[in-house]
Order: sequence, then structure tokens, then C-alpha cells
Amino acid sequence: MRPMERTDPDRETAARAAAGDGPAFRALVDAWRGRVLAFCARMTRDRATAEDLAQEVFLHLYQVLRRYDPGRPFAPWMRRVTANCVLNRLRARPAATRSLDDPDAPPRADSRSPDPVRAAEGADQARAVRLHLARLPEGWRAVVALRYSEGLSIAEIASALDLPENTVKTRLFRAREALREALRTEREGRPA
Amino acid sequence: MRPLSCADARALVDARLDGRLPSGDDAALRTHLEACAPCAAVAADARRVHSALLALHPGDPGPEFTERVIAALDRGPAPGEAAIPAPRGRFAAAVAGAAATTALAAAAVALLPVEEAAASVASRIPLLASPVPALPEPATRLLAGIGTAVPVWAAAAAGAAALLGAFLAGRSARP
Repeated sequence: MRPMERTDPDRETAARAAAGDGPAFRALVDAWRGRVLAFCARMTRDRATAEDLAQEVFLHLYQVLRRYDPGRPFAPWMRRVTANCVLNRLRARPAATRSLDDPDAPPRADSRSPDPVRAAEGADQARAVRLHLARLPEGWRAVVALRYSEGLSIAEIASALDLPENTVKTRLFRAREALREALRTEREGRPA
Repeated sequence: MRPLSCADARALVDARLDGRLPSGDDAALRTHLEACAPCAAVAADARRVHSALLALHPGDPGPEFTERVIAALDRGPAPGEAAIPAPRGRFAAAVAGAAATTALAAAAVALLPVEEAAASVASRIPLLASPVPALPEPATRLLAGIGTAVPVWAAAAAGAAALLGAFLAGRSARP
């Protein structure tokens, strides 16, 4: 369990928000916007779409918050609401709007790397991974998104997506294998 | 130490990314990767994918994002915008409320004499609030006959509506 979840300050805030306390709902958005956007960013190909999707998650949260049981931890419930909302919205969208391919968008170079050549390589890899990630099945992407947006364990991902742990492990393995293969193919196809 | 197959080694490379590598397998994996160039290349690519996935973090969208959410809630769905789906819980509650109202109204109507019931309904609807003209004798007899059947169909309708409301309310318990 994470330190943040041991105390679970969001539980009381969520209970107040569910009772109609506006400032409490605003506090929930403040507390969760980064995590929700991090999940959405790995489910879509560009930031604008990810932000729109994140906004939809909070509008949906507003609608369903009164179903939250304050006797239970808030974080797992919130992750389930987020994942369900994002997957439903993506499945409901026409394929044309689902694939907002933006391979030319400037990738963010790894600012921790002092070597510009390595930083550029890292940026190329990040761009390629983002591109190929968006081509994976949504169910695989959701597993990857939860693993890398919050660093969740296999058990926590399984709980958020209501999947058996072995399915989560398999999807994570296959998703990373597909991305690895895509990177390798790209590297070997590139002129030296 | 048991030598690893390439398939085992690649599964362990993946597990290691999540900190799931059993401590006893660490040495076996290192030995395998030192001797097997293809698996060593896979391990290097796996680390690159792992780093790239971590680097996709978009950061905090900032307080302006919160303001956008609050503004969207305040204004409701704009024309052409996807409507916020009606909460099932509230819909179910509305149906349950309607069912209860129907049951009460049906019971009240069934207990009232027909002419009083007609006046009662009319008095609640402005356009019908003018005096109810007296019914001719045969019509009064006909409605009196129907009046005896009212409790049966009213109870059946109210029961069906209440069951529908309870079903929808039960479904709304999930997030």
C-alpha cells in the first residue's frame, strides 16, 4: 500500500463532495487531475485529446460520486471510475477521432540527460513508443497506462480494471514486447 | 544453478522491469544475458521501452484545468457537445418516485366516487379546472362500472412501475 493510501485524505473529501460540497469537489479535481491526465495521456496520442478525456472523467465523476462508499478507500474506486469512463468514451468514438496520430509533434527530450545526442535518441524513442502505444488494443493500453501513470502493482491494476492478475501480467508483457519489436523494426529500417 | 532458456530469460527480463524478479533468478538471468547476445539485445530494448513509457508523463495540467472542469459543470453540455450521461441513480430514483406517485394516485382515484375523482384531477390541471359538466345518466353508470375495476389495473400498473424503479435503482449501485 502506498503511504498516501494509508491515510486516504480523499475519502472524507469525496464524502463531502458527494453530499454537494462544491469546494470539496474542486479539491478532488485538484488532487486527481495529474493522475487522471497521466492515464489519459497514455490512452491517446496527443495532449489536447488527453485533456479533453480527463475533463470528461471529472464530469462523469461528478455524476457518479454519490455512489462512492466512504467506508472504502477512495483511490481504487476512483481508478475504476477513470478506467471505465476512458475505455467507454474511446470505444464510443469513431475510429477517425480515436486515432489522432501526431507523429510530428515535438517530443519532450529527457531533461535529465546532459548528453544532447542521447537526449535526442531518447526523444526519438519516446515519440516512437507513443506512436506505437496508440496502436495497441485499448485493453493492453489501459494496463500500460495504469502501470506507468501511477506505478501501480499488478494487483492494483487488476483491481482497477476488474481483471485477473494473470491477464494483467500477460497484457503488460505483450504490450511491452510489441513496443520493443516496433522500436527494433524502426531502428533497423532507419538508414545509418 | 539451472540454466535458463531464452523464453524464460525474456519473461524474467519483463518481470524485472516491474520489480517482480525472484531474487534467486537474478544471478541466472545475468549469466544468461552475458552469454546470449539476442537476449541481451532484448533486455536493452526492454529498458528503452520502459524508460520511454515513463517519460510520457504529461505533468500536472495546473489549476486552470480545474477551472475548466468547474466551468463545464456550471454551464452543462454545450450545443453539439456530448451530453453528460444522465446518472442512472437519479433516473432510477425518478422512476421510483413516479411509481410511488402513480400508486398513491391510483389508490386515491380508486377510493373516490367517479365524479369526485374527475373533479379532483381536473382541479389540478389549470386547463381543466373549469366546472366539470354533469355526465349524462348512461355515462355515469358506465364509469361507475369501470370504477370497480380501477383498483385492479391501478395496482398492477403501480406494481410494475415500482418493480422497474427497484431494478434500475439496484443497477445504479455500480460505478
